[in-house]
Amino acid sequence: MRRRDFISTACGAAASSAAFPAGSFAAYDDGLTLLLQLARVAIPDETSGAWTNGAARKALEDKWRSLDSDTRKGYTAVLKKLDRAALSGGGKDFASVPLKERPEIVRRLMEESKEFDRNFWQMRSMMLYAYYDSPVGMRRTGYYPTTQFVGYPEIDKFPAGRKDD
Amino acid sequence: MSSLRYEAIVVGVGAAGSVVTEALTGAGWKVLALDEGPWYNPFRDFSRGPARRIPSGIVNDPVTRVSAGMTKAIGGSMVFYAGVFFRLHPSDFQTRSRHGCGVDWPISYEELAPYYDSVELFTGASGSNTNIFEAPRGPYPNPPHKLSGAAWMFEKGARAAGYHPAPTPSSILSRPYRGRPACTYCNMCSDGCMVGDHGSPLMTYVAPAKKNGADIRAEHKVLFIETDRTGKVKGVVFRDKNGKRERAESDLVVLTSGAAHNPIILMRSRGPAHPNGLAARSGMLGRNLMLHAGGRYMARFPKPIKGFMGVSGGINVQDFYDGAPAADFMRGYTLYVSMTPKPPSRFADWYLDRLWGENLVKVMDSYDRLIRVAVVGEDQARPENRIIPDPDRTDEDGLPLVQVNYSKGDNERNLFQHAVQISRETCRAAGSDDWELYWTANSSAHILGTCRMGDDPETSVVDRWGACHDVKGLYICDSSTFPTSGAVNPALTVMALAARAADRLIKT
Repeated sequence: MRRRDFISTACGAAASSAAFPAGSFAAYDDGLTLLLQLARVAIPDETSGAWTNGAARKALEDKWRSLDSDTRKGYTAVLKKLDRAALSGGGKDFASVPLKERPEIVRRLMEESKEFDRNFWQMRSMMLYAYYDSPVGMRRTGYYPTTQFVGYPEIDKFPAGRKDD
Repeated sequence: MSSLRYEAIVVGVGAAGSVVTEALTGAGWKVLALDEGPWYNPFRDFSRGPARRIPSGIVNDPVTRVSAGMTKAIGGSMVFYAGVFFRLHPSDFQTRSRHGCGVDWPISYEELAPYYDSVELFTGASGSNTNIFEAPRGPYPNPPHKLSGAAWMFEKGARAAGYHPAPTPSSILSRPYRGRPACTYCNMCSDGCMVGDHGSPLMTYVAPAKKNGADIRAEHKVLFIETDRTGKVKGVVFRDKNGKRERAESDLVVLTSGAAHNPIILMRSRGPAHPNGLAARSGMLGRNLMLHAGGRYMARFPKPIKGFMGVSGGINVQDFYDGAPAADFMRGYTLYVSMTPKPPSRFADWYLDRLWGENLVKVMDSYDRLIRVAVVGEDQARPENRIIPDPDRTDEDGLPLVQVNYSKGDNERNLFQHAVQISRETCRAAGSDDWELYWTANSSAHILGTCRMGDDPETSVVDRWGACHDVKGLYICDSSTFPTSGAVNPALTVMALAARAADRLIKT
């Protein structure tokens, strides 16, 4: 390999893997990559980084990998419709479409494809548990878990407006 | 097949069966109590948080698309219930004579009241006798629970709207009672309480019954009730979890398997004198199934109220229990504050269907400002709503599964719409904004009717004591005997009816 080609290839690989957590690049497949992009549309959160490097992303990856291979294949086939729809609309794949334009692609696909619609809601379930069971999701909802023996001693403090009444 | 002899055999150790077993063994009887479900150890089995609810045989009936949230277990569905512990009202026993609908019960509120008292005392019920719509009564064994933020707001709104809110009675302990600790307000009641404050039979009646000497067997399924040539009960045939069949003999069988399973057990228990099954002569067996005209309403407040904390019930409004002026429905309903489903992930997954993107996030960002109101409305009994053996599906023993045939009528739909309107009015009066969510479905954990109680053997299955009109030695005394549904959670009434039947058996 000529020196220039080697540098070019090495830099390309480094640039690609920089978008993903170290050591996990090999485990990414098309389906998971698209699922993570879809999650940013289904449960938008660009401020916390939950979908890019947070616990929600990790949880969604784990859920994806725990699916049986047939289910993963099925979801991947459906998710690839996102790329096709994006390419036919503006010549870019789904991940390259600006975030604010992505909901329209998803909405259109849901209208046009019953298969996509049905699978979207199943995948939404995975995203919901990944996001709202994560520290970021819980903080956003104001919820916090407890154990049965501790319970919620602070029940006396709510509602916030009670003392004003 | 071996055979054992007892003075009574109880089939189903849930809300009713556990009460009967405790009472009979307390009087010195030799009792065998059988249940198809497992015997949970709360500390071992309920300690890992949510999602441990055990599905029953008829959840989400694929044929009729009716969902019935019941559980097979020692302690029954109450092991996983939220603890709401209302009494019926006196008017519930006389809906035909007072309001021209349904049927009158063969017993009055006054006849059942002492048994309500005894069950409340035994379980340590918490509540306040300030509800002006209930019959006058003495104090509860324990004071009402602390209110969650959601309950405070609902009470405030109800008062502002001119209604009469009252603390909701609960079978969960508000303070330590008879060796059991007080509630910690963790709101995991429906996932199985491991603390011990929960008033389910598993925490209350089962242990004393066992101590009295009851032979309680989990994971033992009753296949048939046997009768002799004269038609009299002579025992049951059951199988254990390993599939071994056994016979137990007794002149008395108390059937307490609930409104879904009682008819099926009776229909398959054919004998020389009962070729069509037991208790089938009136043609009423399995009919008049009621599920409550229920649903849920959710609203949103401007400040956090942390509706996921505390116990279900909180505050209730019964201003429309006996109906509403100029209403397009008969009888009425109870509203009470039900806890916001938790954790948020499950709430979104189960309740916010068809929401995604910004719309979803907007609702979820207000999760701790949401209130959920439960509607429990009276369901008018109709003969066509019924339990039958499934013609196509069988269980592992080759016996037909339960098929639930049920649909709501206009009365139930109109009643629910009225309840939504009052819930909306109440929440708005407390400051909720214009977001709301409500739903009703052909589903309930309250499965009632199917073995109706009555004085006339031509129109009912059991008499006022729960004794089967047609079969000597057979008693039925649980939710299946309700002639009308009432508009409150039935747990306490089921237990009181069982206590009354047991009292009768002991005295006669």
